[in-house]
Amino acid sequence: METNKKKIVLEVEELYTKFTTDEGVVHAVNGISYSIREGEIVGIVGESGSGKSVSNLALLGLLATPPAKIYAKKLEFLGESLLTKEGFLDQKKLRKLRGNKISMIFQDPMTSLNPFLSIRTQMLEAVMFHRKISKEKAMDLAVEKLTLVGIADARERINYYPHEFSGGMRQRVMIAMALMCDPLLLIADEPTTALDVTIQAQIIELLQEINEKLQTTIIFITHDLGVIAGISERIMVMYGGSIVESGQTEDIFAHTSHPYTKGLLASIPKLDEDKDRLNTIEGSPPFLLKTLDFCPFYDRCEQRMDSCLEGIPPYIFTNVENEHKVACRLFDEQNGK
Amino acid sequence: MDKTATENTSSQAKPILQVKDLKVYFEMNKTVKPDESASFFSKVFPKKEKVYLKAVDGVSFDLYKGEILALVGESGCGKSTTARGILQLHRPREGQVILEGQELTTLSPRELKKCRQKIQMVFQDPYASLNPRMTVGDVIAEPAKVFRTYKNRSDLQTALIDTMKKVGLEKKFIHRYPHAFSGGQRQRIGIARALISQPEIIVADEPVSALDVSIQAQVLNLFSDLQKDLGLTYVFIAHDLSVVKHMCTRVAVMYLGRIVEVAPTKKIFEKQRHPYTQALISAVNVPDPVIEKKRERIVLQGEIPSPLNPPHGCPFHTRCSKAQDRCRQERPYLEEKAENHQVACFFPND
Repeated sequence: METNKKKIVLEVEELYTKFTTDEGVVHAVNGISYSIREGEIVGIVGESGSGKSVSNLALLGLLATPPAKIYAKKLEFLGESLLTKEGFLDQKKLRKLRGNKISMIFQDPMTSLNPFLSIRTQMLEAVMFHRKISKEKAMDLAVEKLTLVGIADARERINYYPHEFSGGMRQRVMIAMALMCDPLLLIADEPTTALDVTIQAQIIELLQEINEKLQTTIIFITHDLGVIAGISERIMVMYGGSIVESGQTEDIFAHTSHPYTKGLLASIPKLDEDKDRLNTIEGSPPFLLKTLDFCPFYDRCEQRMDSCLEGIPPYIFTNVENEHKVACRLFDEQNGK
Repeated sequence: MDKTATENTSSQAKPILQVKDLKVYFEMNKTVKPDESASFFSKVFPKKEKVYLKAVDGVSFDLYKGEILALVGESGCGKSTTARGILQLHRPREGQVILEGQELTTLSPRELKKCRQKIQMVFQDPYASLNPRMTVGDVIAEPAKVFRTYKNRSDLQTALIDTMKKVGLEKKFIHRYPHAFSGGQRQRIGIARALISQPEIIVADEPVSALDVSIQAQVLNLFSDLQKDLGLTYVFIAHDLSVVKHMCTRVAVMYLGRIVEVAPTKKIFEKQRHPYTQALISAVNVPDPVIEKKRERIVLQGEIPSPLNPPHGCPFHTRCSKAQDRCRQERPYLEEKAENHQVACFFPND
């Protein structure tokens, strides 16, 4: 479907995630489709509640079911389907992949490391599970990875406990841990949000280095359009559980199409311009307690039309060459489809 | 201490708030490792030694009416503690905080109450700073009740509704509880609470960092509208420099409990004289891939040292590319290197 230059690592088609709660069913992810190619860095941007984290946790099978209910039309990793016949996740297959070929870095390194276990124990766990490898070899590997992410005296510091590291160092440990089994795909869920700007710059540099050196494919989830502009080749913008716009980074910023993406970009104060007032998007993100049968951005959109209420807008190409896709009626009509 | 550090930067009006050599220390116990020959008892119960965490170590600045002063820096640099030190929420160990000629650090709690009416705070986390068991009306009205700002109930009621209108909350919300509101609206409640006692200065401690981008813009606009309408003065604490550039008139950059550079916003973004400020501004991400992918970034090595054991001399020398012997031995103080532009560095950029 797209310009097939490189091998497709991950292909997702119509992924849904729902949570059953006391108040009703929350439709967190509403049929998103995308594919990730080998060696690229893809950014997923969205505000809180847009489904950016949940969609990735869902496809790794990291959500408890119930309350979550996950199904998709297609979910393939390197051409191998990860779904059962009924369209649910195949936990057995996922178990082999998680922490092995696909690994994840979480937002808050303090809460995602176990404070009772030394870094060594936590680092060796995954590799000893997935590979037949002696403890000594695994240890050497762990030291190698720690050195790679820039931790000096790794052989000694591997015995430390998480509290003995600072925030930035903990995030480095998390990255080293994720790299233990040489993953093909690294999902980084807001890896720099909890960090200071100067440390954030260090971590972003490290992730770019890993991408270049090890050819690791990275999905970078963030709410910060500034971070994503620097690091990613492609961007997907999520809103209300759907992807509303996607395409190559330069193209998204140069030819922003969806009113939400436009609003989001305009609402960020920028260093290189002086404005008295910031543009705002009025209102707040939608509650996902009911299925929307129209555009999720309708209530807040400045360019809304009557036709926006007629079903979910189709997710269509505005520029095939740059893989620019938009889910908005404005473009629907222009294309005359 | 240092004369230049407290010197007036602008000659015009008298400052509304003066902070002079503020020091806020936290006392901590550190276990002294007993040596081999120590008795069994002293090994089991090792001696404890008092150490001080110097969260704020000699901060001085003047605040003028109508200005928005930004305190920026990384976490742990003491910007929040400075704010709390100003409001006497942490009693400073040394130094003075002078609010309209009144020295706050020596006041008794009862006397302080009167002064606090003039200086109010907006907190970072709108989820944690509102009492979930109080209705919005009660939350907002409480400071006015404590300070007896209004003569009677009906005055208070009118003021309450008026304040809610100012911050963009509808009158019907008055009997609702905080949980029914989104992050942005909760922050509006927090702002209304700070406004009701008719303060002159508002200290906002990272008021937008817990909010989403689209909501952040709404709250920032509210802050600037209120400032214009009510003639408020802000101390605006933030770590996001693009927010600071948009909002503030003057910027004070903090590092490890000290101010390393102060200048009007325009000047500091044009020319950073302190190497730390330079690195900080270069680390800001611009939402534009064309600029972002070309740009040379100064990536600082290492991390902010522990304030329990701050480096000798200039606090920044451990991460500074220009550090020389003098920086390791001597502490630089704020000095005026250009008009209205103070820097604490021996080798500032010209």
